[in-house]
Amino acid sequence: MTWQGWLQIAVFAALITAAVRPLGGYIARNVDGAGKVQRGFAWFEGGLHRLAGVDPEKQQGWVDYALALLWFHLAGMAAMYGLLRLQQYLPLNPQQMDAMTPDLALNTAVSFATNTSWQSYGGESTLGYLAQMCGLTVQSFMSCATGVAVALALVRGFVRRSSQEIGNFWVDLTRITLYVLLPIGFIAALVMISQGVPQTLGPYVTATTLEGAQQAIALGPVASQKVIAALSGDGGGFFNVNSAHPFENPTALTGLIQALLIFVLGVALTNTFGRMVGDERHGWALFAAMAILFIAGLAVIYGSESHGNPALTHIVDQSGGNMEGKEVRFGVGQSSLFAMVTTASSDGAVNAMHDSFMPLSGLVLMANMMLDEVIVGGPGSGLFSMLLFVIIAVFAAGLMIGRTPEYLGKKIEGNEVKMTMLALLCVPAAILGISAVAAVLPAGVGGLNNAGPHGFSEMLYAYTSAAATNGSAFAGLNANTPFYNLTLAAAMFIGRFMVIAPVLCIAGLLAAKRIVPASAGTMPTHGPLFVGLLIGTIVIVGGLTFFPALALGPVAEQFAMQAGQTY
Amino acid sequence: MADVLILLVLVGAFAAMVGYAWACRDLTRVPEAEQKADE
Repeated sequence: MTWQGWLQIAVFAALITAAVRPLGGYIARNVDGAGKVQRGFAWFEGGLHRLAGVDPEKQQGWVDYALALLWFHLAGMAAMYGLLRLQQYLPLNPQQMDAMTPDLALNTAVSFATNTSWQSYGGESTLGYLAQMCGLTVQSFMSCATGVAVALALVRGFVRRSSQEIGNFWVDLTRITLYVLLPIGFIAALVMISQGVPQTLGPYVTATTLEGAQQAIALGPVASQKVIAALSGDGGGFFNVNSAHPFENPTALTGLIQALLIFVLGVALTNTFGRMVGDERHGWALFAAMAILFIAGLAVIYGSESHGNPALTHIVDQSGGNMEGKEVRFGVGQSSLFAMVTTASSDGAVNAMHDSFMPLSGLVLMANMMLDEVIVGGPGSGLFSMLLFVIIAVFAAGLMIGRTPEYLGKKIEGNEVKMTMLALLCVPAAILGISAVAAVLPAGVGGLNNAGPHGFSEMLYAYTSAAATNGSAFAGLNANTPFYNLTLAAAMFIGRFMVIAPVLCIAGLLAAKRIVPASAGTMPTHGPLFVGLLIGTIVIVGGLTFFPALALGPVAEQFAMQAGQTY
Repeated sequence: MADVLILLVLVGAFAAMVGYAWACRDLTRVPEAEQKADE
């Protein structure tokens, strides 16, 4: 570990913490309320609603909200599937890329519509510019806006009293896109272009190498896609190696900006939550829980990567730490920070090969995703996943102290807990169930490039990444096969929509309740004690669910490595 | 043929999701008598 490494971690933490209040307040004012920006662009927003035939005054119950969301994404997936299958006939395809195979097109359409951005293909060798811009980039905006919309609907459930309504999906989607994603994305794209990230519709450039060979240098509208991929928690790379590519991440500043963009909406929404419920301290409590889990995970990764591989000390100089799979420009410090940020959020962009991280680091990366996106998570999805754990925490605390569990004046009763468990069990069921099937079928085992526990980790990581809508890859797994494309698509679908439906149901249930005034017996839910209870709940639930699977993968590999065996 | 099958799978998955949302609604329905007693 170096002081430079810790300095960049400290700068990142300071900047991200500084952004929480201003951006959180901006979102609360302009997406859920009528702030200055919203009032200034109301004419434009109104025009869009009229064009789409949406009545912005009409409020929706949770079932209508969920149906609107589902149909919107069905249409989005079908359109993207068509775009990927027909791209050879469409314009803006200067390299004349051919159609994707049906299974790969389905995987990609589901991947981007679910905010996962799992990529079983190399962008620069598979997709034309139209598919990159109108397919991937549009879905990045829409899937992100959907996550934030669901989180706001859930928060309205806590705020509203005796109401059947939780908002209007179309209005939420429009406002988040117009007032949050577009302006931040536009400014960030200009900064990225100034740093050397390409933004062109011209064809690839052919260069003659020193040996005289011809080399195609891939270009394209990279900056516009990269910023929304980071901001939306989507993380899809324009190039195959994502942020390890010098055109996608050319300088130290672009690396820092990407890491900030990945986290900023997720952390800001904790403050939006606090403002909407009328007490910012509740938002800070959630932020504190996220921050403690983040720092703990980062310390393990950075320490483990700096130490290097003890089984190789006699063969390789590891004074700079474990440099296998790292981009030499970034080294261990920034790679550890970026890996922690990308798996703690639901982003999945990478600037190093996670497959080459030490087993203990690999365990933390997987655990980040297995904890259901609670350490910041994706925009919106991190907040609603954290609120699910809050419901479990207050329920457990209520049982311990013998009082009806309450949170923000809403009684947490059987139905809310049932729906919370349904939402929280979908992701483990998809990860563990499908991994188990893949581990025994020849089609699953055939995709592995490593044996033993490391091979199992590759498989477990892939399904964890898909079901947690993260999208990062451990690498080493040949995932572009019909078996992996279809099963990973199923994991992404379950991990996104089977969680969102019960979350919206909880929003509807809570909105219908009265608000009980706080009394002397009400458990405080904004102090250090509650933060500790929340972290304990997250770690125990996550640990109990996934420990057996992790023991077969990274834990076994760590012990084997200490005994001198590598895979 | 594969395209038609895949689009059917997509539509089927969403139909299942609509059913799932409906099941959530039924799971959480509180009997009227119980609701009145609460009030």
